Amino acid sequence: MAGHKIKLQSNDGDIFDVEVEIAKLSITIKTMLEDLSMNEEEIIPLPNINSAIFKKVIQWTTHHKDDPPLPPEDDENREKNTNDISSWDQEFLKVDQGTLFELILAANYLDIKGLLDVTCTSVANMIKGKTSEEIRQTFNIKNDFTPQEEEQIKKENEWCENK
Amino acid sequence: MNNVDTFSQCFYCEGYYTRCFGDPICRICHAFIYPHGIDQQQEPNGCEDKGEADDSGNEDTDDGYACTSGTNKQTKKLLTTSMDSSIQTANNSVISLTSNNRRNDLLNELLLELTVPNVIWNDHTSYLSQLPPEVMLTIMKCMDDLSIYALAKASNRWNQLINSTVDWKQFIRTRWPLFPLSNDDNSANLSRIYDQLIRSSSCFICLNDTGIRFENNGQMQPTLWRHRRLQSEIRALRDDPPDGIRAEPLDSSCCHWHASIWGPSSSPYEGGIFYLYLHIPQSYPMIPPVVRFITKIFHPNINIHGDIGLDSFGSNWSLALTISKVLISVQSLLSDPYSHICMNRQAADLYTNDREQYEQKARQWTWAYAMHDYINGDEIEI
Repeated sequence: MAGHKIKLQSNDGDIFDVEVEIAKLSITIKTMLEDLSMNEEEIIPLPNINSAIFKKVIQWTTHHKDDPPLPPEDDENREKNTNDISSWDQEFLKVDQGTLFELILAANYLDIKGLLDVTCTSVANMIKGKTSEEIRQTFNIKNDFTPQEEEQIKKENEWCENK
Repeated sequence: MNNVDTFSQCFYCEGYYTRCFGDPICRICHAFIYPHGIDQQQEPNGCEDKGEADDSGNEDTDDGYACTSGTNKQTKKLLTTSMDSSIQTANNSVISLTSNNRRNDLLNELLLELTVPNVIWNDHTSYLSQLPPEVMLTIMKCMDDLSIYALAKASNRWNQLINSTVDWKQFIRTRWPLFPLSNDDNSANLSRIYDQLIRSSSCFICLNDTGIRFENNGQMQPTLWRHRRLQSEIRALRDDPPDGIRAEPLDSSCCHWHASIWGPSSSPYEGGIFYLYLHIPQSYPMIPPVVRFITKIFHPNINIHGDIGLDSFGSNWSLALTISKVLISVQSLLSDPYSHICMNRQAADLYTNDREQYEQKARQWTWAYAMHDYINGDEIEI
């Protein structure tokens, strides 16, 4: 099976030859291959992913193809693994915000747990230690609390300010 | 009462470096003045913790504010440290050097962040808010309670998502273990309590540090002396706690403590419960603990950041003092402020010149930040 390749097509038309073993790190593609028993020559379209991002995804999966399967998630594990990003991944994730978030969406769509974890951790690290004001600034978020809700929050705290 | 709730600019640099986002001290000044995270474990001993405690001691407060120039402070710190702890003298220069470097690293990093133009602003797209909820939940799994709280405040959409998935009770238990939680609180109420506790805390940046206590456990090599002494102190505090004082360690090596002090009766702080964070250095009891208020308080000897101007855990530390004695002296400081030297000039001025107004203001702050019973109850009539 080694070296066996399948064809994947990104939404802007580029076709990628990817080793089956690597492609199967994506649960979405794995299921597709197994359930639909697709023909080898058939091109699998990936309508949600553009070439630039898909290249990054392949780069990541190629580097991580020999990783041991992730340990089952429990609270103990979670606590320990928080915020640990390997140096290769850190280098890999030195991208602008747009690319980072597209990577998250791609990892989510392709169901690549390792990539999703590491990108999400990276975003969590960006949020960590910031106040809500700073978060809004960093991620360009509109304050979507309605004036009534703002008023309500203000009112709840008013008693301690005006006394 | 304009400054009760939030600070519009940094107390020290007055907004020169960066915005302070409601905290009394902006990130950069904080990194400069408090170079060491309050629970930094990697240090071979607590020498600089000692220095830190000295910052809040009397030598800095001669001018009213604790904001002498940094170099000045650093030399003073070295001086007092070497004078006080002859045992540590040999290590002293080395340690202060490394800690200096670390501080410079952090400062450089922060300043670099300031000078680099923010490229994110170019496209005005908010990527984060376009993420589907299940991805947001994955991200939140990697975050601590304070970040989740900040996220909830940043956008209404996340507020709803977070309120429906998050266990605020657990958060309160972890961060304020001494907070008396009643069992029948519903989740809306709990998130409000958490909100109030955050609002009542004196420094968001330090609060962030108090939460990280599950890490670094293995690096600690407690001495037998420290261990025995702390065990007996814990026993004493549990079996026979002093009136209105509670304290308990947060981690197995007893480096981090959470404490609460009830405002003494017939003082303007009466009725309030004030929370403190204690850091017990590795070389304790040779070196005094770092004690800091994490509840906002208006007091001549306690600055806006929660540092306490008491020399008993600064230069006058003695081996005979214990955690409970330290807390008792803090409690008595609440009823008898010492106005000759001060940490909070406004409070000290009022205390000496207009006692009535001082008491009124101190009571206002107590009402606003330390009356957690009232936070619990929904209807407050004033």
